[in-house]
Amino acid sequence: MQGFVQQITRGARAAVAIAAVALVVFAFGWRGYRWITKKSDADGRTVIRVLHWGDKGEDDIVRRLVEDFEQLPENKDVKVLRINLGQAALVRTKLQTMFAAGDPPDVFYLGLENVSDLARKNLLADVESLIADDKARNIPTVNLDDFFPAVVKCFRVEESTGQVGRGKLVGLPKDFTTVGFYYNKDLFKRAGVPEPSPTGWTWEEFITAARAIAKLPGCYGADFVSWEQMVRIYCWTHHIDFASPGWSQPYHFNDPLLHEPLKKLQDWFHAEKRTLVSAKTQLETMQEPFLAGNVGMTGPYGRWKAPIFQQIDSFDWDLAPLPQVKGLEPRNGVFTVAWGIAQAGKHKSESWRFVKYLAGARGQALMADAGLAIPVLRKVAEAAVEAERTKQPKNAGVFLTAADHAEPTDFPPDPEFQQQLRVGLEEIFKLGRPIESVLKRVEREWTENSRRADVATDERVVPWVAVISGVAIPMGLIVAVVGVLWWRNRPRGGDLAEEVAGMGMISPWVIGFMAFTAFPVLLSLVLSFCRWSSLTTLEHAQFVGWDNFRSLFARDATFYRALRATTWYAILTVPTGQIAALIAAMLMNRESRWMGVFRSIWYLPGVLAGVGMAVMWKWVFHHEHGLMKAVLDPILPAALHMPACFEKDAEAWGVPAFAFINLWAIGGTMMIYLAGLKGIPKDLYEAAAIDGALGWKRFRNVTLPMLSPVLFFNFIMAIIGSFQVFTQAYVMTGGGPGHSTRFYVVYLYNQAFDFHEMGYSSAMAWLLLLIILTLTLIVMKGTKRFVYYEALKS
Amino acid sequence: MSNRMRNLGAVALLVLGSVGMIFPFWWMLVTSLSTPAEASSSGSASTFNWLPSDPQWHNYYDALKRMGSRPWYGFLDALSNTIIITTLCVVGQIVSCSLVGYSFAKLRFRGREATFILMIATMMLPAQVTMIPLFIMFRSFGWIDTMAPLVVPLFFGTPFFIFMFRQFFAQVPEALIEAARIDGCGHVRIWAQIMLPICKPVIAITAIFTFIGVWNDFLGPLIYLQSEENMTLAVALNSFQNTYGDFREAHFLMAASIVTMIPCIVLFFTAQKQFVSGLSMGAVKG
Repeated sequence: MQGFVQQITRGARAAVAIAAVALVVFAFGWRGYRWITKKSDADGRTVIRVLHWGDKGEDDIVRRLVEDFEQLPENKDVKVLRINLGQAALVRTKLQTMFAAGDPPDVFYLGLENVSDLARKNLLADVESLIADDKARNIPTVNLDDFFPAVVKCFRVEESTGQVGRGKLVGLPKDFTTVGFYYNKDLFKRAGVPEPSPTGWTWEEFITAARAIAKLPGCYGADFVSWEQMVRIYCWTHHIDFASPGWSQPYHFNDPLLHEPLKKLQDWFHAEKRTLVSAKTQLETMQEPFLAGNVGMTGPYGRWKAPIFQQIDSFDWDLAPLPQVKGLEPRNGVFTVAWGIAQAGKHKSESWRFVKYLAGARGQALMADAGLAIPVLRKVAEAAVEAERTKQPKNAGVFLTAADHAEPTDFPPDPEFQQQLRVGLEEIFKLGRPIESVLKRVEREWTENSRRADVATDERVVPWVAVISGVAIPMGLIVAVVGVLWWRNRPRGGDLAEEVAGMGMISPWVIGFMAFTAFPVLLSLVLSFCRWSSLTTLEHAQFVGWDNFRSLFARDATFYRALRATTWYAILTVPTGQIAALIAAMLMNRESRWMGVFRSIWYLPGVLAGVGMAVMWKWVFHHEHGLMKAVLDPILPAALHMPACFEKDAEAWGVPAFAFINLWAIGGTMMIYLAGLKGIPKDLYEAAAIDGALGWKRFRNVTLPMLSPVLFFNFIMAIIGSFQVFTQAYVMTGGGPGHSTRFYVVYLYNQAFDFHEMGYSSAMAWLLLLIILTLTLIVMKGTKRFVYYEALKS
Repeated sequence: MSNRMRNLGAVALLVLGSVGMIFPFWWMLVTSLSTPAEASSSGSASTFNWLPSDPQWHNYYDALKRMGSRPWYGFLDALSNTIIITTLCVVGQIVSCSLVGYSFAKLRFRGREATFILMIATMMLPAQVTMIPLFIMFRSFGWIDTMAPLVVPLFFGTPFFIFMFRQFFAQVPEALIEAARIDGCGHVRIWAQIMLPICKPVIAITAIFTFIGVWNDFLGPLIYLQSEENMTLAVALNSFQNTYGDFREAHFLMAASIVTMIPCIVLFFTAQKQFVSGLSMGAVKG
């Protein structure tokens, strides 16, 4: 039997080894094949790089567009290289690194959320001047009159302020949508409420229908997407906005006219059970509640939802226009994406030719096929709606009529404003905080921001030559002096050979350290005294002295909140993680064939990474449909119930939930403890047994001291790790709702990659380094007495 | 309490924990085998099927075929890129870290202690500090959209693994090296012919950790690679997520995720014995 098992194990190992070798051979072979076949299709054509996003459906469209474009005889000299990153947020990160390096893509998707930011830094080509050039040279060109005016307006930006709505045209719209509500016809019938009229209805009718449907067993009135743009459009229908056009001052945050509709919406969310639920969180947990058939309405959504709802066959549905306020002119919002051309691009004329093709009738018709959005050319759009008369939604024309009274859903020009507003609205609609105080804070933050932006306009360009020589010359001198001293005191004979060999053999690390660590770290140290928007190149950095550190400590409330959340996380996660790992290791410290299987299983979650895991955990903690709720609610006493960790109760439970999730990552620590336990000599235990020490006593007097160096190592690693907590929180909550899970590095990442404040974030990174260093030193000093280093000598 | 009872209790606890640990994987597996309609309702505890009633095995075929813009090419490109990058990284890591570790452990030269402490200190640096400066640097080398930024740094060693090798080599008796020296071996030969063969467990740990880390790395390829044919699996997986971050193709995402994870899982199951002995031999004597 034993032999048989061994043979199988050996056979399996051999199979794995062979498979691995085969895969490696295949990989190199495939790459080689691709490399050989690739040479033939580059052949001297101009390559333009196109950066876009989108899932499979959208990717197919862009691919088809590119192929079609390349086939046209006049484009024989152009090759389009597509870069698709799937998610819009990834495209923005990528775009930023490319701009920062002075190497932008030629053509890219330009969303409303970063159009003013990019335009303000003068990074986008002027479309109208390209059109004028064409006209001067008598080349067929784009006629802006064919476009929906509301859509073109979205990409006119005042370059000095970043305000959207007028000024230079910085992108050519690709497609757009307005919003409405998708509704379940069957539920309306069952609840006995009249269906919304395709020509318009009011919020009163909307909420009456939602309440009636919520009364049906197991049904929800409506799923309302509380994205800040959607809430803004809701306010627009009440003819009020958060700020003046283009997000300029005066702000209306303290206007009772704004508070009133918001209060109404907040009450629908919180005071009436099941009338209105937040659709946003359900989206993130990957379910589409509308498909289940027990949700009356869902929205405000644009055209992009139609393809997925077309799969529905269990009930009848349609599209309703956005509800309005009785007696007021209707309002709606435009969601749109444009093709932007980089001002600094090297192949502007080819890029423009490509964009022109995309905006032409042929490109637009191809795009309309996907049905995710509406073509920007009025004629093509109308034809598309006409052609799809038979398809659902029957009322698709609603999207087009709304375009006549729709406004750009532009974002505040400064991305930091965007986040502060989003945080405020999350606090109102998810955490149920009082509207007045939250909005008052947002206004204070905004005023603070604009003051900071005004102060930092004095041009003090960093003297890079002086900085670099100021670092390089002393460094060079030190190296030279050390070298000379070394040579003078060099040992003789065999010792010299050994010294040379030793230094030679550590030189890989030393060189790597200088190139890949020391240089970037020094650069970031310099940057922490600068203000540098990473959308521009390094020459534009301005020296600001201690300003970054001063505003961190004196003004930045979010910084303190992030620090507090991180400390709280560290306090929770370090002991629980260590204790759990130690217990698991002690359980596994026995001789059995099965232990190998257990070890592997316990380590398994460490291997599972990426988007899939984030989706799963969100579902586990979901406040309505989550696994934890389903399991715990029946067990817990009636007064207690599972808190909504990433929703209403996030303030108290968000951080603990992450600490809990961290227990799935103890595998690595556990392995190290296990190894430490195995290293304790058996005779020590035997001696202890003779002295009568068993159980707790034995653990306290033998295991713990012998394990103390390992314990110490793991403890320090855990502290460092917990202060650097990032990926899980960034992917799952992005720091929200509110600021409740905004850990230090999440905020640092926000500053660097969302607000583009590289200087500020470098200052934060250095501060984090100091914090970690101090903590480590304190722990080292404090535990000196308890660590039994003799254990190492066994 | 008898020994037997205690053993039983321990095993029961381990089994319970294992169920918890396996659960995420099980959930992904079930979702990957469901129909689109089931997948979009698997986000609800009440409608989640714990056992797929009608497993859709073709999801795997479809998902892999759909990756990227040309059928199969996207997956094969991403797979081979990932394999090549990972292989090179593992080789580079082992060679450089063992070499540096040997030098730190067994060769006497002035400045050794100071360099070693400096190296340990760099382990505390948050990666975000160096991200943009590194990008600027690699761009000036012309390394963007190539594997170089992902692979080359690993040929210069990583503190954590250098530390492990050093701890291991420090336990090797001096006499062994002396004997080799008397036979006329140089240090490079001692390292290659005597040291490397005896430190298999540490090599195993380095290989596994590096493999898993590089295989799953997301931010690096995202920043440094551009064209689809150079992408790695971890980034290519994102094509199943759409613009607004919601998932219309959750079942494909999970199927592709599982295929991506298989090499890590297989590697770990086969090598875990080496792994544990490696940890107990050198690494932890910190």
